[in-house]
Amino acid sequence: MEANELKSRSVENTVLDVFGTILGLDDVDPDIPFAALGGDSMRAVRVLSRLWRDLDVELPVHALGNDTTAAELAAAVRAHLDGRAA
Amino acid sequence: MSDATKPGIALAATFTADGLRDAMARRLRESGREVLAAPYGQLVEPMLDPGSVLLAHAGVNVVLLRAEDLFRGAADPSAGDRLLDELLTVLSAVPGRSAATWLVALTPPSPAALADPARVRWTEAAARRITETVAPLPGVHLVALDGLADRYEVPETHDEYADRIAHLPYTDAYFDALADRLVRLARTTWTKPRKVVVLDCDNTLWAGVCGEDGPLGVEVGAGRRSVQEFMLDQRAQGKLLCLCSRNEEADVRAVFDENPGMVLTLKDVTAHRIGWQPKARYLYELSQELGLALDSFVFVDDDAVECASVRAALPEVAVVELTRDADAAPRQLAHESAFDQLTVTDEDRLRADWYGAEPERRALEQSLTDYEEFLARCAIDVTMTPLTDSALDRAAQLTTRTTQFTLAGTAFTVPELRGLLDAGGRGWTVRVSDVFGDYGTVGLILARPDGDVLDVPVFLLSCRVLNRRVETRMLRMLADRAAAAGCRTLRLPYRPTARNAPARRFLEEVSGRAVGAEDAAGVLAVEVADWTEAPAVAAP
Repeated sequence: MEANELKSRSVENTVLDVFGTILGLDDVDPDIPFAALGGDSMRAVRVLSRLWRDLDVELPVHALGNDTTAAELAAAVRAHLDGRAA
Repeated sequence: MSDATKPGIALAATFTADGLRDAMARRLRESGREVLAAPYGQLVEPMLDPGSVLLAHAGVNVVLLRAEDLFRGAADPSAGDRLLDELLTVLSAVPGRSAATWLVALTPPSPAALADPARVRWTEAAARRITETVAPLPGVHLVALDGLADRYEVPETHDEYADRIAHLPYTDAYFDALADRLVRLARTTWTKPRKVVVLDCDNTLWAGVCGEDGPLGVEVGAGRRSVQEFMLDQRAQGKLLCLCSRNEEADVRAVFDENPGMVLTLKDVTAHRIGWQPKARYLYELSQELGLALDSFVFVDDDAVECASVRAALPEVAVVELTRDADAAPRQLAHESAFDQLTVTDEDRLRADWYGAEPERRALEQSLTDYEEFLARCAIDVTMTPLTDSALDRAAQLTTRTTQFTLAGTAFTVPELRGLLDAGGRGWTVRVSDVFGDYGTVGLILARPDGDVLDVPVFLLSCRVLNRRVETRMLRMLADRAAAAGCRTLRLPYRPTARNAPARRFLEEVSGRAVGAEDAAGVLAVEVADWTEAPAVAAP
């Protein structure tokens, strides 16, 4: 359980870091939609590419839309990782 | 369209180039010029369609080719042969069709393509054929991109995953470097290139002061040698090299004669002023002597005070304050736009002859004929399938992601789509394939019958298949289905947006009237009888 929680937190942190890097933000609120943070479709692709590199998850383009928040994307990444582990 | 009189840049690429377009637009913003892009992935169509951003344009057209994209998705590279042939045909016809200056560049192959000998063989052969085709064409320039990433210190060129999911093969850093290179080349077609480079000597051509250190005491290391080689290259491109130095002339000559590290020789120098007068005065004298205006001069000096005084006295001279860090100097020069010029050859002169009397109209007519023939060769197959549950996801995705060819731009979620179907609405997905491959489900139409009118809230097509008349076929097929359902009129609501110009152009073709670019929504009524493929059958 504890290990899982740790993993969850680290996935969310990675997603927040990647949002910050791609969007040029120091601080990313996990509950604000991607577009409201300045994201667009090109940046979304860069985020997904970075997550593929950092976490080895293969998410499709529509996994990160304008309305997706960092928290939601982190959940999707976790689901992906868990699905693969299962 | 703030300043329609100033030609800008139009861009077509074999891959997703939005990031590149934006990076170019940022660099042009101040000059009031625009960057327009052809629809994603299209090269042949915009070189044939007289209304495309490339042919309806007199500025600079940029065509970017990643050879492997010509067989993208196919197991065997030879799948790209046909498209390559089409491409070479349209490329060679470009000078007769377009008054624009064309820049054609082969962009770097992906690491994956480089790892496969069959793909390497194909792309290398393709690159050779493209180069051979483009090289002799007047007004069409090949832009070499070798070493670009190094020159701009791009840490990573390729974005492998972005290439896979969005056909976006390069990093933003690489796009930025590419944008800089292309915009600088484009600019040289708008401003006259400089003709004279005036060089300081001490701490510019060599490290040290020749009057104090002596001809063998000054040093020409690797960095300075690159500076001299850069200047020789400028000379080879037709610029005149001059010297302007605060020294005794004999001391400067001694370095040229005796120092074994010198690459530049006095024979390469057209004129010089060596002495103790202000450099601005020497520059003026050189301009008199050469008969060339000062606005065609570049002045290169490491000394901040000399640079400042020339800037102040002769603002028309381009001043390059060269870093004293010898290793950094070559890079600084490579990035200095005062040296930019397209390699101009006899071709450009010949271009004037290429255009005879009334050339443009004839060229456009020829282009249109070729375009029709190209479309016929494509053997485009369009099928419309009633929307079913299994296609709802893709349909919803199309409504949110299609921005260029969508009439009303309304997005639908899966439950909303199901609701529409349950309430008696109808929908069709559109699948397109041609000799080059299968594009999959790329179009969507949603409709609601209302008496003898068929309301069409969604009429969209992915930009991958634009410019192939697929939209016209869709309208005909829709009219057939409307006729079968007893409808006499199609109602097509539209809403102009910043991005759906292709859809507006289609409405204008259909209606024969202008559709406003401003954000004024409207409805276009289309008579079913005008568009049915089969002879109209009277509605019961």
